Amino acid sequence: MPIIKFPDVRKEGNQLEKAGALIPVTISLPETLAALREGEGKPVQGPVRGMALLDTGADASAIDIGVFRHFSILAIDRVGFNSAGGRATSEVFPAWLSLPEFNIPKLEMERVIGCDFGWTGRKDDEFLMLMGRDILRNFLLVYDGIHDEWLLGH
Amino acid sequence: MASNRLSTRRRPSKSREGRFFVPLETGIEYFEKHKAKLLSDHEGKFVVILGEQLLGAYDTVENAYNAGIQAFGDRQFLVRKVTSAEQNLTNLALLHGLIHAHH
Repeated sequence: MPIIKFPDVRKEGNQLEKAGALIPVTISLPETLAALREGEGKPVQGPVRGMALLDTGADASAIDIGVFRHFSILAIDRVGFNSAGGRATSEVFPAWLSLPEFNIPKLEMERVIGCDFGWTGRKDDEFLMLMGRDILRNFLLVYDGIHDEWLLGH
Repeated sequence: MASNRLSTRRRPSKSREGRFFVPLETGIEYFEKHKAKLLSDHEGKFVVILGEQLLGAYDTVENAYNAGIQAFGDRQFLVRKVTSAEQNLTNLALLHGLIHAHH
């Protein structure tokens, strides 16, 4: 089982307490949609890179709505949830996620909700995703706050 | 009478490309209306629905989405897992207002 230790040891201490458990992710346009657009002579947007925060409090992952706007992807469903303001609904999107650190080319996600995280797409280390238990169920996670590191095994 | 009002209100409109736009809600309504039959025939699978047209049922969400793209192009269609469980999310960050979902 490949195990990756975070954060990068070259960074300053207390990163885990300050920033949380962050992992680099790459999100791509679904291949079928890319092929369709290519065939129609439309622009095909390249993959988006950013950081995902591990969120054990979420049963479904969330990605910044700006990513889906960047890809011009339409929602495929709506789902209900309980929010601070009461009962609400959110749009569900298709998302093709890869984890470069693990050489995982594609992780399938049943439903990803679109949220506003303030992602701008200007830098590759911007926060763009909450990685919920729908993805974490595939991993071994060790959170070591004492040594300011966390481990992820796949 | 109610259904007549509904169909008038939800009359499809043409997009710039000349194709008819069908709201996602029409597919969601179709799913809920036929849920018992879908559960009987396709429980655990992902169905693809455009308006009131059921394209098919698939083992994975990826297969379902790809089938939808091949059949409908980049038009908006519904992809939903057929399950008796309520479609609901639990996200503590959303619950406590730390993040905001896109509606």
